[in-house]
Amino acid sequence: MVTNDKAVVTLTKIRKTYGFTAALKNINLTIEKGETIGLIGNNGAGKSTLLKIMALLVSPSSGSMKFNGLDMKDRKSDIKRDMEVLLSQVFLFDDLTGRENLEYYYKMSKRITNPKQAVKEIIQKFKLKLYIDRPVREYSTGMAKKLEILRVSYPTLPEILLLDEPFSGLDVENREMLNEIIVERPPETTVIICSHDFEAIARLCSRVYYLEKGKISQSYLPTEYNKFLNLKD
Amino acid sequence: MSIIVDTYNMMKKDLVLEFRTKETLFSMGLFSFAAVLIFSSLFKLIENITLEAHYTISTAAMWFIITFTIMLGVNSVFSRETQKNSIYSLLSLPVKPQAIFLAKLLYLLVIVGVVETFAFIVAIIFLNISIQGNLAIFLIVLIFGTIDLAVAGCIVSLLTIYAKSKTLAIPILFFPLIIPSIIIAADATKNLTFYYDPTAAISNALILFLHAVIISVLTLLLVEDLIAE
Repeated sequence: MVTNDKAVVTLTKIRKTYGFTAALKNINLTIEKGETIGLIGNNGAGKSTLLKIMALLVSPSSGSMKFNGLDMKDRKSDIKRDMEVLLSQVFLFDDLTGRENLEYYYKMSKRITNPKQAVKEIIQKFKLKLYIDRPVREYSTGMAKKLEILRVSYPTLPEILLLDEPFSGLDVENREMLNEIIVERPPETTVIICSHDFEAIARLCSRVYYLEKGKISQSYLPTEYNKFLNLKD
Repeated sequence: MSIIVDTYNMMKKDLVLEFRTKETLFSMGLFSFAAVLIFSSLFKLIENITLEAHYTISTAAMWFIITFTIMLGVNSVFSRETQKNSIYSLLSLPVKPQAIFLAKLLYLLVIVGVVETFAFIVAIIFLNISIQGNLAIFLIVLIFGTIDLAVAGCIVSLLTIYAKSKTLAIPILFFPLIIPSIIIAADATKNLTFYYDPTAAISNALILFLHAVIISVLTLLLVEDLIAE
């Protein structure tokens, strides 16, 4: 594999099996700092598993991963400090209020020096005053999702932001908010988005990989997206 | 120092959630109260019970109640993370896996401690246990025994994070692990309450404490692999 100084994530021969089923087969991928990468594919193609492996939530069965040149097996907790992950499962605790949830996760993320102040600023900026002090179990799906987005992206973005089906279940307002976060992010933040909806993520991504049966079968640059659309047809 | 702060923050979050809902505390408290009442009413049904039999049954009843109370708590240790299928909320945190285990263990010890304080008072009244000797030694036996059972429970809870049927998996793993500890704990209690042999009771308590320390250290060494999916 060609070494790349700008590489923030390097995956080499990543394989993941569940029993006798191979979810990922021999994945080689290099992601550069500041890129927006899209992982697309049908249900069961392995894109969420790949995202969870990159987020250090699931261990690969074999292969190696590097983060800024460091082996991801070492110093996992230090590497996790530089990344945030948004999954389809909501991480918020139902019996804590929105404020308590945000303060807890900001405190644990260690990227924010004053979590209480950060939450205050967010409440003002996003007009959350009406429901921030209510338990999350009383939130609608959209409200919970909005808080989840704020959990991973404010007040500062991490070095790597991993998003799994981020646009599903979002209303127009939250969709625009997430788009804005991705487009206007600092140049050093790398975003990896996984979705089965190509059109939702295509215009945001600098490269899109198509996964099929646990393998990367195609990769596309923005100028080549039409090729994919033709393939889909 | 970071591991201590992380442990404290995670434990605090779990305790805030528990004291807000009181789901586990209530079920543990209710079970221990009901069990004490049932055992005390059983004593009234038996006529001409010898003093030794009384103390033996009382001691067994006490550790039976403590064991099952802890088991109710063990079920809740990782439940908040697993009930919504979001164990990833815990794994995504930039903390050492040892901090996760310690936070869960301390959370379990606090809720068990609260319930035991309540159950201890009820048991002293209803089971008519008189501590002939030193109350401090009795408390040492109780605390070390509880710590040992709670450590074993927390390990079992960790081992069954990904189990589909936790209600089945937890007792299967928990009971073989704690049977030696229960025998020693019961022996220590009887040594103190019936035979009044504080030296033997302290030796038993130290064995329990040592067992708790050894299995905790082993778990802390292996927790990273145990918690990974």
